[in-house]
Order: sequence, then structure tokens, then C-alpha cells
Amino acid sequence: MPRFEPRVVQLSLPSEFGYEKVAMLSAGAIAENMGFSPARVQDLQTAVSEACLNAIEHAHRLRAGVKLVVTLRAGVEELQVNVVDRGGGSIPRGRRPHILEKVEGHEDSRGWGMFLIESLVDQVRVTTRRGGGKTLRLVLRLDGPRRSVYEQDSV
Amino acid sequence: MNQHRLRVRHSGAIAIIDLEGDLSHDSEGPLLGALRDPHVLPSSVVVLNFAGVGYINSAGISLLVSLVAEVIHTERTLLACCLSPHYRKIFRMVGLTEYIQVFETELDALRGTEPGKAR
Repeated sequence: MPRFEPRVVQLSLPSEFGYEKVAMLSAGAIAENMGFSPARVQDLQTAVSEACLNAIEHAHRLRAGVKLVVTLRAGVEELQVNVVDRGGGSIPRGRRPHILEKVEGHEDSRGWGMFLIESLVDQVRVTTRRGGGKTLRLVLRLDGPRRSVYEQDSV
Repeated sequence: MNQHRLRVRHSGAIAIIDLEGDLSHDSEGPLLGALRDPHVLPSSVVVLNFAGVGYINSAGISLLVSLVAEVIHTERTLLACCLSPHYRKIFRMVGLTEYIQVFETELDALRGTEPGKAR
């Protein structure tokens, strides 16, 4: 039996609102081809969009010339999406936001991104590079019920 | 790339805001503006019709939280209709359904506001 080679697609995107949709649509098309259900495809699309927005807005501060690199890796059992930024700071773990606090104005109405990402994909790994920049890896698995795993490391 | 349009209609005393395009960073001005419009302000019930919306991101969710705060402040009720199953799920996940009653169709939303059927 021939050895399966993962299919890899790489996108280099300007750090400008709207370009997250390019990654989102690409991820959706690949996930659909891999046989994920429409509901899981949409979950992945929302997570990819939020991961890109995080890089665009917080890491690159909307500097269009600074590119984020999105790598989509379609394997036999899973789809991996790596979103690589060149910015500083960290990606805080997405605790469940308190909507009441936000509605009453005690908390910023923003801050949903990481919560959505962690809720919608099977695995999230945040890798911080000492020289600057981060990789946010999202994994969606083809088999079994979905589960949520969060990991964090630095290299 | 992100475009958002909206249109305001009325069905009796109820204001209906038809949303179209993306609900994201650049939607705040138009949507808050519509809610504060002199033609919309007297309506105690406002229905957001999402039939024309294909993409809502976290900034759009934040905007909806701001809208909820606004309608509570002005003692109005905010309803939503025609959301895709995916975004209905997102609304439940983030807790928006605690403040915005979501209906399958616009007609359901309008009927849901009849006396005795309101939440």
C-alpha cells in the first residue's frame, strides 16, 4: 500500500481585518474534502477565523505589511491548522467569559476568541517562541466524539 | 473585505432590522446607530433578522453584547430570527440566548411577541 503523504497548503496573509476569511474558507474546503460533517466544518471555520483575528489584531496590531502564516495540514486522521504570528505578548487561556459582567459593563465586551477556539476544536496548542512570535495549532480529528485538549509550551 | 449593510422595517410597533453581510468589527456604528434611530427608539421590541448574515466573528458577538446592554438600558426587548444552526449554537455557547430570544423565522419572532407569548 502506498504511504500516505499529508497534503499541505500554506497561506501568507496581510494583518488586516477580512483576511481571516481567506484562511477560514480554505480550511473549510479542505475539511469538507476530508469528510468532516458540515457542522464540524463550520466549527473549524469559526476557530480558524478567531485564531487569525488574534494574530491580526493583537499580535500584529493591524499592520497589514506584517504577514501571518497559516499552514493547513490534511492527514489521514486529522486536520491541523497552524497560525503563526510574529508579534509579542501571549495568548491567554480562554476561560468562559461572564456575559452578565460584560452586559453590565464591568468587563470589556470583547474577549471571546480563545473561548470559542477551545470550545470548537479537538486540540489547541500554543507555542511561544523565545525570539518572538507564537504558533497557535488547532486540530480537528476525524474519528470519534470531539474532545477538547489545551496545551501550552515555549521553544 | 468585510461589508455590512442593514435595513430597518416595522411590523406594527415592532422594529425589524435586516442584517446583511458580515457581523464583525465594522458593524458597530451602523447597528448601534439603527438601534438609536428616532424611528426605532419608540419600538419596545426590536427583531434582528440574520437571514442575510453569513459570518459572525468574536467582534460581532461583542457588538451583540453591546446591543443587549443598550436595549436593557432603554427597557426594550431584543429578539433574533433566521440564524443558521451554527450561529444558534454559538449564541448558546456564549450566553447570548439568556438575553436575546432566538426564533426560527421572522413570523415566529413576531408571534412570539404577542401578548401571552412574550418571554
